[in-house]
Amino acid sequence: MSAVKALLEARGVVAGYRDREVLHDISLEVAPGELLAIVGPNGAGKSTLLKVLSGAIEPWRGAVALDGRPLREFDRRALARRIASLGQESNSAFAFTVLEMVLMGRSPHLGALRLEGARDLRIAAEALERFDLTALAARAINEISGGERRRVLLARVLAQEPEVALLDEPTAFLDLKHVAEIFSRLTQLRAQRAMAVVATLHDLNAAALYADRILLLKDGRAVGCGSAEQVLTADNLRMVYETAVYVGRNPVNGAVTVLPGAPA
Amino acid sequence: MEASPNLTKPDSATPAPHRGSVPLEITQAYLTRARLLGVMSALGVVLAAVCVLAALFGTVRIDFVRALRQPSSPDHAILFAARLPRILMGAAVGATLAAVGAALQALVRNPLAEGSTLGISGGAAFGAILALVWSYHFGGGWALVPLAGFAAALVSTLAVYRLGQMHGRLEPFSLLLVGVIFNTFWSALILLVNSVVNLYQTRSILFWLVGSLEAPTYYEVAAVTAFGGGGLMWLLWHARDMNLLSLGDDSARDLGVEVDRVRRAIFIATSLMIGAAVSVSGMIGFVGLIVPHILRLAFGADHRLLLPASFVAGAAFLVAADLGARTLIAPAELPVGVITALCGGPFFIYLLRREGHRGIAV
Amino acid sequence: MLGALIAVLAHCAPLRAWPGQRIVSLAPSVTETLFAIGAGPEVVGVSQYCDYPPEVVKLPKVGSFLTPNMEAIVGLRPGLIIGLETSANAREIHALQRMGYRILLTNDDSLEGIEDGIRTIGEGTGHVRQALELLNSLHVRMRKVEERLKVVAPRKVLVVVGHNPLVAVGGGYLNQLLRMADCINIAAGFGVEWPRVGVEYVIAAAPEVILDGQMGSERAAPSGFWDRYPVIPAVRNHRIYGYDQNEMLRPGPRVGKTLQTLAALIHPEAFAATPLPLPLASPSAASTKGAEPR
Repeated sequence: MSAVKALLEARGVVAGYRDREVLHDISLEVAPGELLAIVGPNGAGKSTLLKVLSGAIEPWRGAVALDGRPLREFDRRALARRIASLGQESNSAFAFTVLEMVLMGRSPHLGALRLEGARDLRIAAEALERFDLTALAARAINEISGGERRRVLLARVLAQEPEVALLDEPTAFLDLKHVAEIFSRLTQLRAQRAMAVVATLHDLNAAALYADRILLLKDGRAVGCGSAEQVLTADNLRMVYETAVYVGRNPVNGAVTVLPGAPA
Repeated sequence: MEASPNLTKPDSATPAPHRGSVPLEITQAYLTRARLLGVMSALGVVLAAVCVLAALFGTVRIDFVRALRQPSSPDHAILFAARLPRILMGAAVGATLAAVGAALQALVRNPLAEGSTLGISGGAAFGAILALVWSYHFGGGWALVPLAGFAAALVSTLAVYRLGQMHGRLEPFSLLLVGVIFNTFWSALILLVNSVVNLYQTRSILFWLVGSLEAPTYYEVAAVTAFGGGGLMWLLWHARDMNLLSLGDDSARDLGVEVDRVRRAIFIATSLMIGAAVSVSGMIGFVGLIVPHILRLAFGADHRLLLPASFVAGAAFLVAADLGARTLIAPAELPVGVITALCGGPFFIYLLRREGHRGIAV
Repeated sequence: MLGALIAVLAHCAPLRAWPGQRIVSLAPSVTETLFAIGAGPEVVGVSQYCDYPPEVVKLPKVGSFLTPNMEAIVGLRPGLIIGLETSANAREIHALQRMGYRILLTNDDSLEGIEDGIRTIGEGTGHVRQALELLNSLHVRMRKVEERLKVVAPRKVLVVVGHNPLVAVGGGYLNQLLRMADCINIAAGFGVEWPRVGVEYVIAAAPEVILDGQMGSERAAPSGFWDRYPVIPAVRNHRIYGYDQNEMLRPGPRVGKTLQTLAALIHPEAFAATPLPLPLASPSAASTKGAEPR
């Protein structure tokens, strides 16, 4: 049977900053409801790739298409209704409350002068609840911890009701319990809404456990794209990370497990 | 329509445990129409009260009843020809400066920004002075001076914005530093012009450098109200975008904001407003710093409330300050900028310590 | 080091005693006095604000009484430096004194100060006789004006330097002149010499005559500013006059003329029939008539 039509698709993307080329000919596609993990060492271009996928950076060559239409054909607000991004966001200059932050995710769906209504509040409250933030709803954004901030931003992505969520290191600053929760929530959302998720991850094991497919990057090139078994081989990893690794199976859940290999 | 705080189970398909109704305090945590109207009404009442006080008191005592009954009495003249235009001017200028302060803070993501700390008032004053000297010698329409102030303010804003960036990002402290330097630079230029031209081609040096509301004409009041009100409308249109802008350029773009367009709109609107205000009242400082900050503490940071609230509260603030200027050393008068500077200096230090401790966003 | 060099040069330069000495004046009132008492030819340097009598504009400039230019002064090798007692230039004055220059200081805050100043300058430059004559003619003129004013009642007056801002004459010699000219100065009670008055105060005080320096010396020129307050008697009766700031706001030998101008503007009825003659003498050294210029 034919593959499900790709929701977000990148073809032959070459991109970079000023005079430095970071991504050399990357192609990928994401289907609705799919979780694609992008992994690779620092400097491999993971964040840059996410920015290209969101439309924040124009590729030098190649194109990104949403539902078959090139990104540049969308105006920014229309795009924001369908694609949400989670990036590295610094501390807000002003003391917005957690709820206000999450409600900001509703902005692409509202006109310039419309105040948020009952439906928007419901969506935001639901997002807060999904990420365990209801108790913090009235707290100022500058007064909560880094991990809590990360969850607030995730809740905002959720409130945006996107078709595609692009998450840059969603599990950074989060402890083990919250990491597991985040992924379980994302799994629910993908099931309920057929939301596609593209996430850059440091943690290869999390990627192996939760992602449908993995894209392994090194120096701006795709080393492999496919299931965990296909991509996370000892040879690939040794080449990409330039260190010995041990690849095995998690005895509990059978997922591919990567551990640093013995030195020498 | 108000958001109901009682929510039923959001999605019946979700297996996650859910918490029941949203606590009531959430309605305080974001902006509702009720809160918007409530705060604006309260501030409106405050403004009206301050204006009445300012009409009752001043440099000299007047008989209010006689002022209203006998149009030929000096009391009437004092109330309507001397005090009223001054109150109206104070309200217009104060409103404009406070709203500009709030907008500039959103623009540069820095609660310490305002017209005087970024050196923009200085530029506007210099433009206005040049226009005055020009029209003294060559004539010119009534709009020449505020428009010259606008042009100079725009140049100053763009320059400060550009120079306050390091490695392509707005560094908060270097921005303020550049602003202070610009202020000094513009003040020096103003002093230069003032020593070269005939003494009364432009107003006095003290008027320009400190700011004063002395003897305005209704003409000038109308000009500031028009530019200030118009500018406010334009800013209000972008108020939601200003909220998003404070998250950072990237996040704002991801949420659908045309960042460059919004920034351009803020540049132009604030320059227009400051140009008009400074050209008729000099460099009154700190209004745009004190008023938005206090409002933010009291009512939250949402610019859709903060902007109009700053407009009204700024008017009340400056009218009150001018009341002080007219009564503190009566029967002589202080320039109103002295009062705002006396309030603003310590306030700025307090703000600096508080924000520096918290860490200002870049 | 430069100071040491200058000190050496100063001691080498010949300091001649009067008459024929080289005089540097640091203030316009001093310059006018010097020329009025016949010491004009001895003046070798004046401040940048000195413009009267007309010939002084050609003389070398040595800064202002607030900031005298030390090098320029020393370069003129003066035998006598005359300045004002304002505290702002105390440091420069002390420096010049330490270098051995002869310095004379006068105080022109009040009429008494102006008169003492004329006397001091006369003694210091060896023109004592002319100084006393100048004082005499001043007194004569003032007494003549007071004579004329015997028949008029005091009037409420406001004299402002300008109306943007409203800075009024509140003290000093000008206030004394106003009193002599039979005026009630509504700005006299502030306790400062140049108070910033509010419009409200002016309306409440209701002066009958207003002299506004910002309007220049055009008599009764229209001004949009004052027209906004027709309730003020001076505005209603069109008794607002401009005046020449350079002349009126200058303490010095011309105070007699200033008094006369004030009196004529404020109480015109006392001078209408037989106007006081204005002397035609030029301020040359040989004149015995005193310094009043025309």
